[in-house]
Amino acid sequence: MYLFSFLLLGRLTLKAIPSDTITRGGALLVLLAPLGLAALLTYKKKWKWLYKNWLTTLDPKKIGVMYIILASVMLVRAGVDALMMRLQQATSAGASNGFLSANHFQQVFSAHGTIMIFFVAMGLMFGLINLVVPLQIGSRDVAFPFLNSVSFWLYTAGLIIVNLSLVLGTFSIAGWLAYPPLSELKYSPGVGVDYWIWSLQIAGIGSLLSGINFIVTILKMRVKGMNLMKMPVFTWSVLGALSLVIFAFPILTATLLLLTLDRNLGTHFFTAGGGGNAMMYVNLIWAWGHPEVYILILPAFGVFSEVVATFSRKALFGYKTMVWAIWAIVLLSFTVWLHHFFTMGAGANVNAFFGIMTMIIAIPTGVKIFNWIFTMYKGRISFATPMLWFMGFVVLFTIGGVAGVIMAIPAADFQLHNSLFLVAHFHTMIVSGVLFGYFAGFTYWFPKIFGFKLNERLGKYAFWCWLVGFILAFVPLYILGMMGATRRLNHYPSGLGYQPLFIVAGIGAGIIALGVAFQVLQIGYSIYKRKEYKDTTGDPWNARTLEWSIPSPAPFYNFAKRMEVSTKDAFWEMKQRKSLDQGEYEDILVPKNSPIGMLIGFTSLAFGFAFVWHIWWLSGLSLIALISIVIYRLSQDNIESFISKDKLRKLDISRKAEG
Amino acid sequence: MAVHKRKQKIRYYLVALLLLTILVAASIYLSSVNIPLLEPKGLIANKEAHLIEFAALLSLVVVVPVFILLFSFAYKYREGSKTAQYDPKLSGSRTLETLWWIIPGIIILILSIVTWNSSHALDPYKPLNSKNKAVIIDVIALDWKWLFIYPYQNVASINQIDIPINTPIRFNITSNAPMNSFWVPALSGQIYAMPGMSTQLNLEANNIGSYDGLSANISGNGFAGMRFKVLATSYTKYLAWINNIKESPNKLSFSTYNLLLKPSENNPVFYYSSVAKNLYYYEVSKYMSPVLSQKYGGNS
Repeated sequence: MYLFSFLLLGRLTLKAIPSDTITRGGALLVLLAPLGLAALLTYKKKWKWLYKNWLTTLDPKKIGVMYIILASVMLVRAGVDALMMRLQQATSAGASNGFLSANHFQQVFSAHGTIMIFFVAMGLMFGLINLVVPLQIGSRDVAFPFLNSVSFWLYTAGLIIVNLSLVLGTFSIAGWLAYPPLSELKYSPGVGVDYWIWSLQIAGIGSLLSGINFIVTILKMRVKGMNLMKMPVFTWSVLGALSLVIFAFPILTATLLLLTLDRNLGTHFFTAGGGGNAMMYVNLIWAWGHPEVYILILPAFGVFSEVVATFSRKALFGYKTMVWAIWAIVLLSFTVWLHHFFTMGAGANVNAFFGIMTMIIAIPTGVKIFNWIFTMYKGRISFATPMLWFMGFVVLFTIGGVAGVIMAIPAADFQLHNSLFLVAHFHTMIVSGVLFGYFAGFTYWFPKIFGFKLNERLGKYAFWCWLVGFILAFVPLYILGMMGATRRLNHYPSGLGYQPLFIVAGIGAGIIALGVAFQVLQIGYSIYKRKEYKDTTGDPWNARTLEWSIPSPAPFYNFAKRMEVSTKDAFWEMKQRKSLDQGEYEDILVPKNSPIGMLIGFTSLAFGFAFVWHIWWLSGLSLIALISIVIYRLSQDNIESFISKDKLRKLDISRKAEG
Repeated sequence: MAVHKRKQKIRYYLVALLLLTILVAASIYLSSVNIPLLEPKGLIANKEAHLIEFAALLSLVVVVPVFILLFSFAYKYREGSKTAQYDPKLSGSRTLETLWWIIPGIIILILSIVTWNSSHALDPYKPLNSKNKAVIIDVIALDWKWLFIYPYQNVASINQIDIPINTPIRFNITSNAPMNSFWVPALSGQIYAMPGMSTQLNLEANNIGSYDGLSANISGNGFAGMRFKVLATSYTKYLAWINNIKESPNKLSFSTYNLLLKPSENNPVFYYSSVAKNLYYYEVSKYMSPVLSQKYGGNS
């Protein structure tokens, strides 16, 4: 009986179903949300619509929208994790132990970090890249539309795996980077770390493929006349970020593979015994991890560059220095990884080298900030929501940057490392830099994709909640760090004076949650008022780059005519010269929809899930299925449909008449 | 219009008042609690605090202009301003752009020199100069408690140490548990405790007192309870403390050590009047030798 069960289900037994109330609630939510959605789709008879228009699409704009939807749902999911942590720490002093066990608390912070980085920040980033980059470079599509769909579905598979851990079994307790030996079999024998590994492994391969795809798109598919030094700065920043992706993500893949071997085949790469070394893992994971934070933030810098120029009605200040600053950051970001563990006990020379390299990155970052501020100089600044996000970003990011420079000094870092000061620092950088940037970008490009603007008033409420909430939530953490509070404490003695500060931080987190509620309300209300907020011009912000030259929402073929540009900020120039409707129609090929990206995603999901639970027959089977599907796709003909220039002209004219 | 303006003015005053109240309340609260990083009680922590303050102040050279420029430009060039110039073609200035490569560059150059020097001066491995002879303490992070061994005094304790003030203390640190980080914020920065490796930390307490120590790296369920006390006392009291331990009936042999490896949480202070010879040495090097490993049970 036991053998049979093992062969069929591996180590998956009834015990995997959560037993405590809080986890059960979470599991129920994870199950009910998709079920509710499915019921709604069935009731509204929308399955076919969903399949034809979304699930099988190869249109980067639609794939971008799907990325952003999933990433937003994950923002709420990992945001709930954050609220749980705040509640635990606000109530868990002295005799009180809070409402979470130590083990549960550790799962919560591990899930929070993992999801926020891999499925929120990365999802928002790839979403925006999909929406904007082809349009901005005047291209009809990405270089490899099918591969783009595969990337999205691998991201989705990773996302499902990380959320399955809430329903079956447990998640990793080893933090978002799973340092060994805690993540090794000896200390984490269960499925938690395996869930973590496979969710990242699968999503990470998706990211790598996306990186290749968009680099080729940017290098090969720009409109005629747009040489590199005429590219919009957002596209430049994406090129920089994705160059980091293709160099950094293979390191992640290899590192995770080595950890998998340690856990499944008894190798000793990162154990203390058998010749292994845990610090090898720590080096490798940060050799990926440090570039990763720049992968996230560079496109956000790009967004701010577009936003500040558009809303100041002025060309970006110092375009060339901006481009150089991006590439300085790209190169330097591979030379600083050791600053994440100065406390390893490396020699003074090694620590000093990495400390100095870290500080040097502050120079190009500072250059970018000054250029943005001087873009406002002699401008006509309108404070629409994206501009508010920008202002909030500069204020918080500068303060977070100071904290970063302090910690770049190894001897100062010995005191601040792993403390809540560090936690406050990287949240300042990632929330104000990455999230504010993508929120600004989302508001800015929303009308281009959906054809109507978002409500400004609710957007501003959301911004102020985020800003005030952030300050209240994280200033106390800077202070707590100085008071000697380390990160990841599920409990602390009373009498240290921590509790009032944790309570303030909890209130701040609540205000941020209110900000998220305003964002949800903003989208809902704007959809309700979409006729009123309609963007009839295609250029609602009086913007500068090519995506604004076409009607909103952007048609599936992006650009009806073959254009040519001669300057940077090409659309602005066209408007100045009043030479808008240039170019000629031509025959085009559009990729046909394909369900195969989705199939690859789900076979990968099955493979990962089976590996987590040691259901070996299923992992074997899904691997064979995966390979067969790829071979089938590679041998498929007739994957594009033809649109003649006459038809394109008719489509274009009818679209413009609508607008 | 006038009413509207007055209302707006009142609103600004209210916001300012609110901010002021928060600031006053915060400073009153913060002056009532202990902030060890800013109120160091030891030689090393003191230097590290100066370093943190210096870097923060130097950064202000960039931060203050950034804030002034940001808000003054935002106000001056706002849409609807009647006096401000508008120059949509202004897209750069070689002088200015060079300036903001150079100014942050100079600051970073200064900080780099400070970094280089302080990394060497405050290298945790560097023995401290003193007329007093250093006290050596071997530290083993266990699941989930700290074992301290005084090899020359041949005593050991759990979750408590006593150190004489104005005397260099040298810690050798390892782990028979997941990685931890050994940290006494009032006395010095932290260093990792890693299985199979031995790190060092040198510090000196200058004030008599009892200071909190903790693990700063997640190591599993009992992590939050891995706290210990550092009693910084006069040399006489330190000797008395050692002698007191010597009275303890418990001895730390290899077999009691193996019992100690069993995970336990929130452990009380516990003393051992003697320690098996070279216990720390075996803990660090057992992974390298299959023979030692078999004998002392380290097979991770």
